[in-house]
Amino acid sequence: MHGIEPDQIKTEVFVLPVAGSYEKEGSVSNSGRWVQWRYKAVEPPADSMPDLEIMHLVMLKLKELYQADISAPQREAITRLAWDYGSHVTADAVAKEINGYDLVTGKMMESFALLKDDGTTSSGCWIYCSMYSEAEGNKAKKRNPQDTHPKKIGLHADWSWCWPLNRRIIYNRASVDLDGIPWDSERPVVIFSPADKKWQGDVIDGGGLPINVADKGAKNLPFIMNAEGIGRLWGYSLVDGPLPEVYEPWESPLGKNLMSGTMNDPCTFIGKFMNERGTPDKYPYVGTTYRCTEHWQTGIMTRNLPWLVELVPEMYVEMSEELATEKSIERGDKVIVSTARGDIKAVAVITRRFQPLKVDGETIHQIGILWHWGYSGMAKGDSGNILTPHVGDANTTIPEYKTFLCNVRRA
Amino acid sequence: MSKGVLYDANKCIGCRACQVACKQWNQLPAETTTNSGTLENPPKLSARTFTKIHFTEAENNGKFHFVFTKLQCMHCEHPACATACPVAALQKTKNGPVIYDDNRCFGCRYCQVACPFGIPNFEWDKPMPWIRKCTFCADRLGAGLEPACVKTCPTGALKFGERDDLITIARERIAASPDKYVNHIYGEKEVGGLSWLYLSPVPFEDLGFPTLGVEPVTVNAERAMGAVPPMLVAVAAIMTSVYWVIQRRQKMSQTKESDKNKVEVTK
Repeated sequence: MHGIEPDQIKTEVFVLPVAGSYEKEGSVSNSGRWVQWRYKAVEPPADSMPDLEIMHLVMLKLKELYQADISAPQREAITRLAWDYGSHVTADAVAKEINGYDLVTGKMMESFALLKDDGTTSSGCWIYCSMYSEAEGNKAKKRNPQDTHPKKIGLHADWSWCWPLNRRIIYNRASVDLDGIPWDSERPVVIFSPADKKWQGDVIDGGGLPINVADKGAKNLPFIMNAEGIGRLWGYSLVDGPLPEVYEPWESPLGKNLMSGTMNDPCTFIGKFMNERGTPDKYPYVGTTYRCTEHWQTGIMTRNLPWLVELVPEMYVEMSEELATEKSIERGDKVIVSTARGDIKAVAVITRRFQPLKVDGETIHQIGILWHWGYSGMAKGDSGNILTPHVGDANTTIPEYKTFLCNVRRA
Repeated sequence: MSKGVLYDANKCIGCRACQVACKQWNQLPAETTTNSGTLENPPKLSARTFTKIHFTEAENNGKFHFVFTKLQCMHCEHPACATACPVAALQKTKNGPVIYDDNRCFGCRYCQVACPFGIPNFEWDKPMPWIRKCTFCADRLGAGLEPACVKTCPTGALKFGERDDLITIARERIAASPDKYVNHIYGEKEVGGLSWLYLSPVPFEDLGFPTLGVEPVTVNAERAMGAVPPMLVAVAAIMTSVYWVIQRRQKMSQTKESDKNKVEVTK
């Protein structure tokens, strides 16, 4: 496809049978910064094993090969690499290593604040330091549903663990005044008790006492990751900042940006390979992509489960009754959705939940395109990825898969 | 006291985890389906699908609604299927479920005709077919557990409890948000009451629910059945047994025939 010849690519790829997420133990981190332990639900089938175990076996073999070959380049990087898992590696051992050790005593590091740069301590990643402690073990396994916050604001700080230091709300010092008195007395995040000079509630950000109580030189400001310690309205860390601006997507049905003089974000990442750009004359509709609850990601696991395939058996796209009428598409028809990058076949789901947009007096139709499909498995179909542009957000390079130009016709 | 389930269409997100949980608990095989232009699947309840979510796009008071409805056996307080059953293979239990005993069933399928919701399904594709329908997870209830579909529901759209309590809760929900619900608890009074109760943002007839009276479907049947002298029932039972034996013999000889055919083909 697109002029790529697999046998011309000078790479050899080995596909190894790897366990799915429910067939192994480990942790997941969510966007609320929690690290939650997950246990193995079922054994992996046949010869498959957790990726961690596969990497371990590969590394043991590499060590053996490098040990034997004294002329190997950068040999000690492999032979002297700390790899003390024994014959079998556990996710728990890796969690300990990510937390870090006091290399003198062999005990767990209890806080990143205690990490040293003299080689006597270790940590795989400082934000996760204190996730594992001598007293409490693996804190990602904590499952106390009670809210231990004194005002029960819904913190639930004993359910799993949160980086850094189990601080559930970062910059929480901004919730109190200079004397440590909460701005919102009904729902305080942290509460300072002057009697014993201690904080209650969430783990206070930055440590130390309230600014008016603290000694000179220990007056910690709330925004600890900014050098000046205070919040920024003028955010100079964004490449397309300092102030937000509304831009049109890379592929837009509009001739001009109705909100700004500049059409597109000049800092956007635009892929140069297999990334043809469509125009509204050929591709008049707006394509947008999403998921369904029944399938997950590429669907390689869910499209092989008969009960889920029963629920969503085929790749589909959604459109309004108005667009369907315009294009003589009936409910359940097979349709071709095309963009400048490629085209896919799918079943048309026609729904009133999709309504044509009115933009600057013009009617603009949208087509909803599912992910999840691929060429292998029990339920096969075209992937939404064939249509999407290779455009990334200026700061994060998060792909611009929610708006692009497409066309549709009956297959 | 009798158990029930309250289904709130305003809380359901149509994820259909209930459908999968049902198949998992009852070990029901997947059906081969296609996308017919709707997100709904399988298209209807069957001997392999005891529950499904029905999707409706409806309008009420000028407002568009995408409404989900869970379909399964309603476990009527006065089940017509049980009254219609000549051999008491279907029975209403004290704690709610209408249960089915395949040791008693002789396959007359009167229950299918009697049910106002068209729930009992027959295993047409099996050599020894039985009636199949939602069991209200009577086995789970017996062990002090809630039904599998209720257990898995992530949004609280399904609530299991004492039927009387659920009616109170349903009334409270309607009273708290009269703009969000039609003022009707489907199943509270329909055909003498159902163990499964429904709340909806649009009238129930728009969701395909049958409009039924408050009189149990069973009343007439009960009267009629009560008038039959016990002697007649006994004779009928004997004749039925004879019929069953003959039918079974025929079936077995048919099976042997087909076995012979198989051998022929192999040769």
